[in-house]
Amino acid sequence: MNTSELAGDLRHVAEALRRVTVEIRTGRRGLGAGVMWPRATNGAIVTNAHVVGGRSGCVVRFADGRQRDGRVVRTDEENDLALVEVAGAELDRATLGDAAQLRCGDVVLALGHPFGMSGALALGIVHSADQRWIRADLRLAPGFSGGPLADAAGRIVGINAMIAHGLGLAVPATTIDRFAA
Amino acid sequence: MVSTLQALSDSLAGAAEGVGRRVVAIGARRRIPSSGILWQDGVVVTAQHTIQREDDIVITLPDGSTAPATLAGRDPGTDLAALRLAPNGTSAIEVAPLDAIRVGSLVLALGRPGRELTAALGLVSAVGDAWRTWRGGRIDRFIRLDISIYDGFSGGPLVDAEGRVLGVNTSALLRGAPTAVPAATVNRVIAVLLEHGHVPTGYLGVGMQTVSLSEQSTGLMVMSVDPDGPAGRGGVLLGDVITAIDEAAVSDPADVLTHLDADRVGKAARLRLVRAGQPTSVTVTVGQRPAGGRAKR
Repeated sequence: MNTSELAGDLRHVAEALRRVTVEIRTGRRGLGAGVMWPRATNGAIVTNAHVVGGRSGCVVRFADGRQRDGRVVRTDEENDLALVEVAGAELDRATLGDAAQLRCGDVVLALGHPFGMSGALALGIVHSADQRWIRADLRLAPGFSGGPLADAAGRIVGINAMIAHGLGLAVPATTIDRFAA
Repeated sequence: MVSTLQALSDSLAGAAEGVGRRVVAIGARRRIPSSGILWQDGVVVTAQHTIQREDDIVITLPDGSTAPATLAGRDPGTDLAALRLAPNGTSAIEVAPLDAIRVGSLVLALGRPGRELTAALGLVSAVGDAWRTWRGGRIDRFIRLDISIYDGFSGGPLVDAEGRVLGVNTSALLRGAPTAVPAATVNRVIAVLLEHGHVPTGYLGVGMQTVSLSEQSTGLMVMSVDPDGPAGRGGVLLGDVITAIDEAAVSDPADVLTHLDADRVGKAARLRLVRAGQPTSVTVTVGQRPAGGRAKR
């Protein structure tokens, strides 16, 4: 296995994920991530419900530095999802993968903003997955919430929502599709 | 074109899937089941400390079916246990040789703490020579792992990226830190457990403590003697200081264990002593440690 190729692949995936990942701020302290969801109506961004924390608006900062006001259109507390619309923004579109195809041991990557560090990458593997959650052996931190979880090809398979017993838990893309459509 | 990252993902998932067909869940404790490995036909290997109940053990096989199992034997020294279940034609497991365990290897810890197979990714962070655990077991390689411990870690297999089984994982031998018992040790111990139900260990029947004899030398003062034990019958007295066994110096109670492996049972051992300030020696016949006799060597 060629390690410089491996590093190149990781860089490539990280860059692709950064283009479709935004920062979401609410108030002065709250910082999470969001993903420009391809199948969402009205060009919207998906994040966690706990990132917007019941508010009707938030500030969305794109990877190129643009900053816009976002409007929280819909939330699903049970699945910890929120849909945020940004008026007039041209959004890049994430490539989605099939969470149902994930196998135990598959490489997964997360992108987020841990402790305010923008666009940080984490690598791990699928610990186990069912229809409710993708559980990943992956070192997440506060700030990864709402950010993408991608497979080895860089296709987004879910959105990171929480850390439980050391495992990263992500909402599968199929659940998000139903919510965002 | 398949990227290198995709190839890595495929080999890890392939390794998990291949070895995962041998990973079972063992219901022998409260709450969450522990993991075990179908090691040979009708035999499951696991980490001894996860077996908290010796009756009504139920194994969940990878296909979801369940089978009753009985405890064939356990060895706290190496934290291994063997369970028997009805044979179903499973082939013996193929394991990697000891020299396949190398620092820096990417490894998976597989488990089945329920119906589903689980995996964690990590590295072999250190490899050392044969060592003796705090419970006296002899293990053919010291393996330190850089890996997260989740439910079902202990008793599951350590697998490299090529899908080779390197050993059996446990968190009970290194103060909670992750380690693995190499497959060669597992094969050796399981063969003994299946034959005897336990790993016979030599026994002297003395409790000892390290003492200084001079600035340069230390020995082991005999703090208690089992009067019916090999040392007691051989004439060892309370207060004797053991300085050597078979001409090898001893300065720590753990040193004595190296003279008490199973093959020493029934054989003579010459103890050099300091008794009331005078050097002397006695010859004792190494016995077999009685069940539960843990405090004395």
